[in-house]
Amino acid sequence: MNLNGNLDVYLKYASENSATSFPFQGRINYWVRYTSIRDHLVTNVFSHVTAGAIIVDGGYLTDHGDDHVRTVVDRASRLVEAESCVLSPYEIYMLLVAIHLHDVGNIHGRKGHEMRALTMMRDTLGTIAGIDDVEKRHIVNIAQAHGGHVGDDKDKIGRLERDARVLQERIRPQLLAAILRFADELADDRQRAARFLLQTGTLPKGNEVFHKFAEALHTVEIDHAGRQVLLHFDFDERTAVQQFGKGAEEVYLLDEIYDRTIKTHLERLYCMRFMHQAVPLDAITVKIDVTSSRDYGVLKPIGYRLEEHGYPSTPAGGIHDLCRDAAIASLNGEALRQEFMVQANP
Amino acid sequence: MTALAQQNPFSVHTPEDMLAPDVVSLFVDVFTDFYQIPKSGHTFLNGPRGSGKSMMFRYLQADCQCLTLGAQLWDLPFYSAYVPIKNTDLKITELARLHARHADVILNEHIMTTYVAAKVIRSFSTLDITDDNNQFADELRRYYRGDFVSLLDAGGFDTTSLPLIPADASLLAGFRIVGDVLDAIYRKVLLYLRRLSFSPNDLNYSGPLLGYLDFLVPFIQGLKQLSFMPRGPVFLLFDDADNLNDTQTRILNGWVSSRTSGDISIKISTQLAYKTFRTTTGQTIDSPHDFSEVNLSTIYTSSHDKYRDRIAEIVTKRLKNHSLDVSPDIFFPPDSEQENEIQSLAQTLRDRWSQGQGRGFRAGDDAIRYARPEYIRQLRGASKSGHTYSYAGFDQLVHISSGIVRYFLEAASQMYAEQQARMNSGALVTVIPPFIQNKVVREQADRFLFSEFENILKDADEAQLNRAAKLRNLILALGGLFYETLVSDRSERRVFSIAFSDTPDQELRDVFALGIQYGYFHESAIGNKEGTGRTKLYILSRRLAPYFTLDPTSFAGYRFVTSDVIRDAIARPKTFLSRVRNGVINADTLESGQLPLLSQEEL
Amino acid sequence: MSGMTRLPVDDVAGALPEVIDVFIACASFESRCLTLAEHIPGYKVRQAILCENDSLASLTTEFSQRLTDRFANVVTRLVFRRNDPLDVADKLQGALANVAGSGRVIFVDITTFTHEALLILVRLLQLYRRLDDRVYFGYTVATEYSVGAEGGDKWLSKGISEIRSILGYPGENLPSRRVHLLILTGFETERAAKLVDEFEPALVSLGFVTGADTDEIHQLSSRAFQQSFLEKYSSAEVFRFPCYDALATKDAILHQAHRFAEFNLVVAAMNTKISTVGAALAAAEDDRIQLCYAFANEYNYAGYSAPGTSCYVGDVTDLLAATATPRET
Repeated sequence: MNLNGNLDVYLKYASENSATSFPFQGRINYWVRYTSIRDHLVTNVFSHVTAGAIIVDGGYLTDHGDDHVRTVVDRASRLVEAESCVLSPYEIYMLLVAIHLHDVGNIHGRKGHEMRALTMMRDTLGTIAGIDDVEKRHIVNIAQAHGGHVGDDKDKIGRLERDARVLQERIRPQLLAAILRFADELADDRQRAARFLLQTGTLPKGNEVFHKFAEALHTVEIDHAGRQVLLHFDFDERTAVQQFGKGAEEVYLLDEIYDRTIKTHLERLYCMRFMHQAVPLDAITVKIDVTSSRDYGVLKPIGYRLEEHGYPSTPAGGIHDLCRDAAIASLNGEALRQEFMVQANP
Repeated sequence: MTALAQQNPFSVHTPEDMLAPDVVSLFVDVFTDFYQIPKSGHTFLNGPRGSGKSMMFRYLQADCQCLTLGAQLWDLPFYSAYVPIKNTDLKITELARLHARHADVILNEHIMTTYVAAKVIRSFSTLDITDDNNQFADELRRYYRGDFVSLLDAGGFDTTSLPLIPADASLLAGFRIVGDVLDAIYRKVLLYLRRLSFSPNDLNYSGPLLGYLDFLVPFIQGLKQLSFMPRGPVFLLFDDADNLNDTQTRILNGWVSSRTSGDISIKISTQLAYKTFRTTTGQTIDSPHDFSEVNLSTIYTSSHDKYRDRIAEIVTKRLKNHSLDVSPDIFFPPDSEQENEIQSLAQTLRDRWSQGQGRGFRAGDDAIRYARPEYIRQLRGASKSGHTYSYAGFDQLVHISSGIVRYFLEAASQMYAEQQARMNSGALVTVIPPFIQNKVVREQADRFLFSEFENILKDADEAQLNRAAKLRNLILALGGLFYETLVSDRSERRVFSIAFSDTPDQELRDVFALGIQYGYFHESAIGNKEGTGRTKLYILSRRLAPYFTLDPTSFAGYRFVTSDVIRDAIARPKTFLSRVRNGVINADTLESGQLPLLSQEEL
Repeated sequence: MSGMTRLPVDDVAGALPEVIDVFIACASFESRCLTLAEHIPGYKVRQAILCENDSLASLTTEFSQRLTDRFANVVTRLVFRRNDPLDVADKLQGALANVAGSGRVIFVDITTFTHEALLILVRLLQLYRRLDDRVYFGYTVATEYSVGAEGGDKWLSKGISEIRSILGYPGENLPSRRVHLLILTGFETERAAKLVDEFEPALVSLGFVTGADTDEIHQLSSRAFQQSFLEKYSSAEVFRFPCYDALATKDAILHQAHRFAEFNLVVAAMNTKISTVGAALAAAEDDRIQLCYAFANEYNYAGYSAPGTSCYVGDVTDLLAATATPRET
């Protein structure tokens, strides 16, 4: 869909020109409500999010405050520009609020942060976000699905409704959650890094590589025509030869890029399950330029493409690896034969 | 009359109301037949009303299990919470205001979650848990103040107004307070629904929202950690889940698909009218990987010996509880004169077979197949009173009950009451005379059929018939067909079922589905005529045998029919039966569907 | 407090105000749907709202047409969709709202409404009656039910296809409590018995008709049913209600319901429409009471009833007003 800008620009336009696309037939201005939510969070919460996480966890996360939120909004906007994607204005409102809420739980520490969106919605925002708790619950569910797990299961988007009605308007929670999640995955770029601290060497050791990664990622491009996401990295030769702290270990940046782009590939596979009809993306293309620290020339270009290709292969464990049912894990032809032999000759 | 003599040993009680000692004394262990039910894992338990589902659920509850195993609560292999779904408890009409408009899934799930949580808490109120030094009460209080409050808080409940559990409160009092909190949450959503009755656009909901994964599962997991709880899974026993609306059914299916059976196993009983096996996301849940399935009527009708053994055990147990040590065959004797006649006919058939005039592979086959039908035919021919065939005898009564325990017990209870009324005050009933047995099962057959339908057999325009009327016509037509088959000269006379040689349309299938739901038919499968696969077999309930004067002792026989024939029978049952009697409709026309045109008389 | 009094059908016009702003009736397969309408001069009625059920269209056409013809220029027809209580409620609410003015005289012939539609209408009249509106109810007594059949062969309906709660009376069925089922029994003894089997209540209270002016037909069937039912459900409680007195029926239900604490209260009204109004009033006064209804598989369309020569008519405005506000929670 053509947004003529970002999602929030479109929301403003829709609230002025298509007010009946929202609940209550335009009697409630959802643009005003959105800006109230945003202003409140920016003023009272976002500036503290990263700091709060530092205090609780003791490390130094990349930025999860307002800049990050604006980046996620930007990424989500680019995703939604796919021709086959048509979100209603009400869905855009929900997506934007969910984006604003998805990381605010970091204020209390990283662990389980995605689950604190409900507390934030209820206790901090209260009636700023309206009075209908079902509407708010859907927004919170979309926000919470961007990470974490329920029990041993990380499939949080699958647990959401595919289609739902809220205040007589149709929304697609799974689609919105997938857009948010993937946009968040793609939002880890140069702006997020704590560059000053990196440069002065005052960043906690165990977090170094995260910030180096963010610093190296200079462009994220969503190419709808090519149905791919392009990630451009660059770093100089001095960085290439150095190792950086990752928790208790030290790793090379290139290896970290490999690990992280695999994660991006997995996130793409996961999110496509819920958004492939609206936002079809088949691949992650990675370009890494190792540059000269003297003249910025490219010393070594590295590139690769992460996609499903060829004919799917059978997993090593056969059917027993593919399906979830515990009974299948122990049942093969021989076991079945044994079972019937025992029944026939007890 | 003595107190003992006043009691009826075959009284049918609602299991939910029965005390544990009574349940344990009456219950016959059927779990060897249905081994999946007391095991970890989700299970669907399907069967008509009266087939014993609720009794099984009652028996699985902790008070009965403690008594049976002679164990303390914490030593049990599982903990069962009974969740009855009464007809209008959850399926409130106001909920229809939400469908396709607002929060249909979220609010229905909140209602269900709160309801189930409250039932789990209520299940503790019937237990006798010895709590020395209030240790368990203290644990509950800590759980309440800690995890329970956190869960409610996460669900949007205002926990600042929660009542406290006093320090000296007993365990039972503590559970009551938790139950009151859940009731209060439930009450709040009922208030919202009430507002919706005539204000359909006033959709705003303000209140807590609890779901299965974010509340019920951790709630139950938390309870399981309390030291008086068994270590095994918690069973949620949903009884009569047909009474859920479509959205609630899909939500429950979602719970089944969520693979929490290690902690929570969901046991769902249905009366064969479960609305759907889809979840709210449109996916289906399937057997055996999502759940195991037990079809009570199929198991007991396909294995008569097993069922007969169970009924014999039940009768023996009930009579023993009544100080009567007598076998069921003695207590329910057959009509000896009739049986002697039938035996005599059987001998004649064996003799004929020996002289080369038989039909079966062995002499005994002819005796079994034809002796009783021949007797029934003779009754019709001689006295025009086929109705004097007697259905007395334990064997016949078991057959007539069609695999459903309650049917047997209700008939036996009425027989006992009638016999008791004829005897002197204070005398104990030691036998039920055959004439009473016969009278009662005939009355019950009439009532079974005509409590649902009017007793009319008339032809009509098919378009004017509603589904219930079509079912009535179908039963009357098939019952008549089976009787004519019984008294015919066919080699297989004891026919109780039909199978379609073509593919019946949706409307026909729906009529049979309604019949199955009401208990007039049950479903099985046989190889199709072409030998290329399987087709459905619809078996008439033998409870109707007395009405149509059929032989209930075997129902293996079936006939292939076409959809056209059955549709015609439904529309014009009177004409259909007339044509069966005069031979216009015979085996060939049934199977080919090539019905001759109606004659002038028939028109 | 006003109520309904019995009088000859010929006198019904005299018992009503000179002008009837809204006359509401339901076309049916029963000829009783015509009785009161044909005894009210057409000129008295400013607006007629005629209801019917689309599923019974082939059976109600004749009577529906006669009603329409009688009030030709002022008729609003409401056709209720099969098995859709929301449709019934929305159409009735809309039709009532469309009649302008206040201080309206509303006369409802309750005789041949379905129990469900009647209960919904009563609730709507309680909630959305305008200031100074006066509401009158009318009911035509039947001389015979199941016309032509004798004694035990009489039938009005067979089987149960569905049981549902009535819109507007959801009650307060809390999960911690068991069910106390109260049935206003009538002719349909098998249906009542099936209802008990369906609910498996912890407590069942059977209401049987009583009262000096209760027709013999009600009394006879009641006695026979009472005996056979109590043989089967020996622990059932019994209470009495006069089937032609809504107020007394309301009181009887509430008295019986309040005798036993800590139960979820479910009431099924299976007797006359007047007693059904009584059930509505009881549930309005104590909103813990849920009203439910059991829909039959088959109805005796051909011979359901024969109209009598007497009716009940009365101003029920005060009755509706007195019970409109539920108890304080």
